[in-house]
Amino acid sequence: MREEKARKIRWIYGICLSVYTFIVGALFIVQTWRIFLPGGKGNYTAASIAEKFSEIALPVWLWVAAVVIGGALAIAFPISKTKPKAYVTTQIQLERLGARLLGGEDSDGKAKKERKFRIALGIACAIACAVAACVALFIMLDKSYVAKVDREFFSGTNAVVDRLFSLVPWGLAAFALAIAAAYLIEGSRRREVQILKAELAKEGKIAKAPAKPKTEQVENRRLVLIVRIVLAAVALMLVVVGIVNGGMSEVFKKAINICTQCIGLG
Amino acid sequence: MKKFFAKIKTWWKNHKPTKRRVVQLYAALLTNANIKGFFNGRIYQGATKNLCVPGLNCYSCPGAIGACPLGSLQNALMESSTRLPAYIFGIIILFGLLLGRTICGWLCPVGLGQELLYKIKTPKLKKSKATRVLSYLKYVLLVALVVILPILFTVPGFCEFICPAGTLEGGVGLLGNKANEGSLGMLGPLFTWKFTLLVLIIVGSIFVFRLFCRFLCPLGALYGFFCRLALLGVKLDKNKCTDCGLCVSVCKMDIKRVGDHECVHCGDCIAVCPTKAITWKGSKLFLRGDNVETPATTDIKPISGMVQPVAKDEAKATVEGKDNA
Repeated sequence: MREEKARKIRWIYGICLSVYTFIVGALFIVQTWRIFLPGGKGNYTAASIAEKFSEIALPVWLWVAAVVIGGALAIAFPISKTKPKAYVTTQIQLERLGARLLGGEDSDGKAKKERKFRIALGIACAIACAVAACVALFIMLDKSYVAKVDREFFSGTNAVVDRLFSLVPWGLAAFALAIAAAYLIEGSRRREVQILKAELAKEGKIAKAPAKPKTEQVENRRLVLIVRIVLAAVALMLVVVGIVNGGMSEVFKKAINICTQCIGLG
Repeated sequence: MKKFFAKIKTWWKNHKPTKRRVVQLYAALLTNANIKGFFNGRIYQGATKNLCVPGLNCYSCPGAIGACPLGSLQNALMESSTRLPAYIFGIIILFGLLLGRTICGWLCPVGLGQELLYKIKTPKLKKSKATRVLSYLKYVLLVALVVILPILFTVPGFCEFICPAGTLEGGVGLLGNKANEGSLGMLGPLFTWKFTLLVLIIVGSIFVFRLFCRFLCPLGALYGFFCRLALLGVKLDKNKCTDCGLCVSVCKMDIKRVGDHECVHCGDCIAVCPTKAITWKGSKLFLRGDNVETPATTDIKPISGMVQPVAKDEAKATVEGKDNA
């Protein structure tokens, strides 16, 4: 009961703190844009920054206090950690079930259908991502490309920013497709696991699970060692070449001067 | 009063910094050892800036004593038409071979910052299939912003448009100093965009474990290529592994198996492996038996093709023990 009460209190406080964190984050972003928007470039001054951020000083300090209180609550109301649950992935389950099933297939062919579905989905997703990548490359390599952006608002944009604006929707679409495909594939694997388990339950189909083959570790180790030695030699050679051809001094020159692009000056 | 102190003592015992946390703190301090720079608003210009630090740390940070490997790589690629970027390639390969993504888990100041933010007591977003897919975004950023943009447009794409270390350490750290007030007027849309992104990453890191490392960091993506070759890190003995999935379950990164390209070699999985299949590379050479993290005392009982651990003594199960700081 005490543990349940502690969980409830901490859960409610955590939700409130999360909401407040979002609010404080939004305040920071809003204040930054309030400094920038009125005049565009050149609107940042010590006075304007101090004025805008002092307006949100109280909420920020309250957030800090809320974080400290959250920590104190965690000490005052400790809860035992939930044990991590072992989870055998559907891929491993399919391998094991397939190995135990004589012939590796179910009598109705449903497992095969699921496998074909996954292959088709994988290919479709790969094609979609390849198309997005090709469009992205085309946009990046086309020297005459001009993006359709609001020139009044984004008056300072250049060729690079134009392209990045155009790439974002393609990137989002590709990732959305890939995420959807990942979930559909997992669903298909789970269905196949159920199909194979049902098949195993039928009489006369159960076979002894084969012993897990020992991995050939010795040969792998030798190969890894050879690759390490070769790469290390190549790396050392590259470093020496870099020192000789002035690469190291170029790194030094860049590092001792303020990188205006890195700090947001452009 | 005694009870209160006893509670504090127990809390400290369970929450005192682990060796990894101490190493992270030392690495962050060493990487930004030029404390004077934070006060006088000037960046360090000493000889150590010929060398790259292994983690992500903007070289425009007033405290930085070394060069950023990612920034140096972009800069070298910008100059690649006139000079082969051999030096930085060699440095990155050496870092990858020696440490791989152990750098992310042990030496990177940005990783440390995110882990500390994650400790704030709020509900957390757990990893899922979606986060696993999103973890490939950093490879897209590596190709587009770190390779293509510098070569084709001579622009350090990642540094200019994304890097939160540059915004926080260089932008805020440098321009926040009174000595650099005059440069504030040069800030414009780029800084506004980068500061917005910085705030989003900081807020996101409170809810999502290592949000930047998992989804956005091209340096982590680069080091991930060396996951099998790196000399240091965790390794999995496949002959002892029973595929119970506890290690993947405990890990907060988007790994499919221990030591893959998403693994930052924090070692949290070593304690939970019931068959001691996970160890540190080189542990036989460098560690005594009692220095290896003790595994959970569990039995494994196969149940209809799946493997579930059954704790020998639930009170002693290490997963309920100390929270790895």
